[in-house]
Amino acid sequence: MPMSIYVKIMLWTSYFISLYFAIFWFLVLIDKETKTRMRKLKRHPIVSIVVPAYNEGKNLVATLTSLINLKYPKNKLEIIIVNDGSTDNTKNAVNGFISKNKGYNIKLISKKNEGKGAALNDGLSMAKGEFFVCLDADSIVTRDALQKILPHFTDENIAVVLPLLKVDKPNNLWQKMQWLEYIINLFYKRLMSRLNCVHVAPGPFSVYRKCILKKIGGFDEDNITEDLEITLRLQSKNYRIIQLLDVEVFTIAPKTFKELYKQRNRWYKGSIINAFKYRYMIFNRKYGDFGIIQMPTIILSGLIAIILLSSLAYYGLKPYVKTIYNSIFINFDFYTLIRTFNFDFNLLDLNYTAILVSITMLFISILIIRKSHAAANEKPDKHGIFSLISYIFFYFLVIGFIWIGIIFDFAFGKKQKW
Amino acid sequence: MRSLSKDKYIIAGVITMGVFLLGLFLGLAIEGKRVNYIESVSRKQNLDFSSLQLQYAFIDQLSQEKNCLGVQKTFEQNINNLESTRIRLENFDRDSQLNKNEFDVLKNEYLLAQIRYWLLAERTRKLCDTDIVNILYFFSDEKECPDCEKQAFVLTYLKKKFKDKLLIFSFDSKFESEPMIPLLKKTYNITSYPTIVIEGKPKAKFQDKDAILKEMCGYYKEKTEDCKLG
Repeated sequence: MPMSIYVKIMLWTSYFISLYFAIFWFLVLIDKETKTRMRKLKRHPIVSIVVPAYNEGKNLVATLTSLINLKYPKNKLEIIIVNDGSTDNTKNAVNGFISKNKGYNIKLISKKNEGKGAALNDGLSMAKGEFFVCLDADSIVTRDALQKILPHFTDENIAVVLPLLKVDKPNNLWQKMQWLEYIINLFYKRLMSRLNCVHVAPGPFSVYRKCILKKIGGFDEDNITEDLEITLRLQSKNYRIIQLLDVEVFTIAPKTFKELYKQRNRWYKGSIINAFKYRYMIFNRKYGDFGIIQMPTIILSGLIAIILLSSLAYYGLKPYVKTIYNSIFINFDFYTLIRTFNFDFNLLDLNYTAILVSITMLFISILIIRKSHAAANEKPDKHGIFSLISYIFFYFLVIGFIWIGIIFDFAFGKKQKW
Repeated sequence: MRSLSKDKYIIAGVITMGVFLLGLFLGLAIEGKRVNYIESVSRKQNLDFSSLQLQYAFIDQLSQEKNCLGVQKTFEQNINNLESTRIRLENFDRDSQLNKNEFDVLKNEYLLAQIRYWLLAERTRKLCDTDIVNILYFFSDEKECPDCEKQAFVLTYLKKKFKDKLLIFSFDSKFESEPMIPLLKKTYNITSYPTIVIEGKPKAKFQDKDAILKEMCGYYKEKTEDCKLG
């Protein structure tokens, strides 16, 4: 059988799976959500907020300021900064902040550099609170965050509640596209949350019930994405994870392609490695929807991205590459080709299947963008129509490209640095 | 026990299948339309050919002045139509899933049409005292003939350059079910692809632009600018 048959089968399978997932989540979207009545926060349990910091001297003060501005009783708030062997002025910045804000319970632990997982565990072992919050040193919380998040711990089984993450003050196109991406992804996570399918509790202001965190043994210290690992572990023990959209936390997004590549390379690689670690959950009914749809999604999304991108590149670029190659044999006399070009077009020449697929995809994208921005109280064109168009037609190529890089790294056994 | 959205999995499966079936039917409907379209174009082209034949016969037998110019223009137009339909047909056939047989019949018709036009061109050469070079191009599929694509590219380029002064007739050598193909292959001793036959002289293997130019320009009575190499 010719190679092209396999390529076609792979391509159509990818289309089928993508469409199936899209329709599945659309069904979740239109399904009425059972509203849990929100009680006001009656008591104020102690909350420990751990800020792991590695060379974050620049950003740390803004982060800490947003923490002491939280609408929460001072004496119930414990802030622990873990200086993970920084070589910059992190230590001085924190000490300066502590001496300026005497009335608050702020502690600084300094240790040698061991990575984020270890830093979080050090914070965890010191934390006195009933709830444990991790906050990356490059993120900023809104004032009412705890007031809004804590009431969602209605059930002993709820392990984590997550806020809506937004990109802080996007300046250039990379950040503006990520601004859109975050809102859309978080909306998708909110849908996942309805079926208890959330697979990652990211660094910025994820609120954990501390006793559960301790019971399952804290964070994995040798993991490139410890936030993903802990969430999969919680899922494997059948705890619940809730995603909110009405509490905002702002985070700084990579501002160059190089930074973005580095970040995503680590994230996506981590998702593959950890999904493999917990592979026994894949298609396992014991883990409900998480096992049946979410675990396969983690594994397949990268694969599908690669297949779709490479087939797009192959079918889209092949004719041009061939024409240019063939032009060697006519001494690149494009003039004759252009001069005598006659436009011979027939409606039947169009590839209607491809057009149907493209229009459906575009329609679904626009629908999702509108819905998610409405849910996050934002307008899609807030940062300009250009970034919106770039996001729709260009960003997926970037993500696909990053996935291809990951395949290369795996193939050639490149070691991952944190 | 964790919850499982069984009905959503089933409904999503049904809708996805539905969309794919819709796409499949749409594809088949388009394919049917394509067959009909080529058939109707081909009928019209057959008519054009008969008319052209009559025009030549008239000039040959009854007309006082041998006014060939108008007829030659029609000839050129017809052959351009024929070629663009043939290329379209090749594309349709490549994309088709179910109507392979119909497309094969149509391809056969176009093959014969090419031969008819070629013979007509040869017959009218004396009658109208034309200054035209004929090239026959024998090709095969990509597997058997990786060079055919660039050969076709070069020939298309030459056709664009010389326009009505160059006639190219392409023959799919895979089409052995049509007895004309083995006959032609035997006549010109064609064993490999691509092979082009310039005014009856076969040349095997890929021929670049300059090689073809050198050969074909020897046949023109009036040498034009285009015959310059380089």
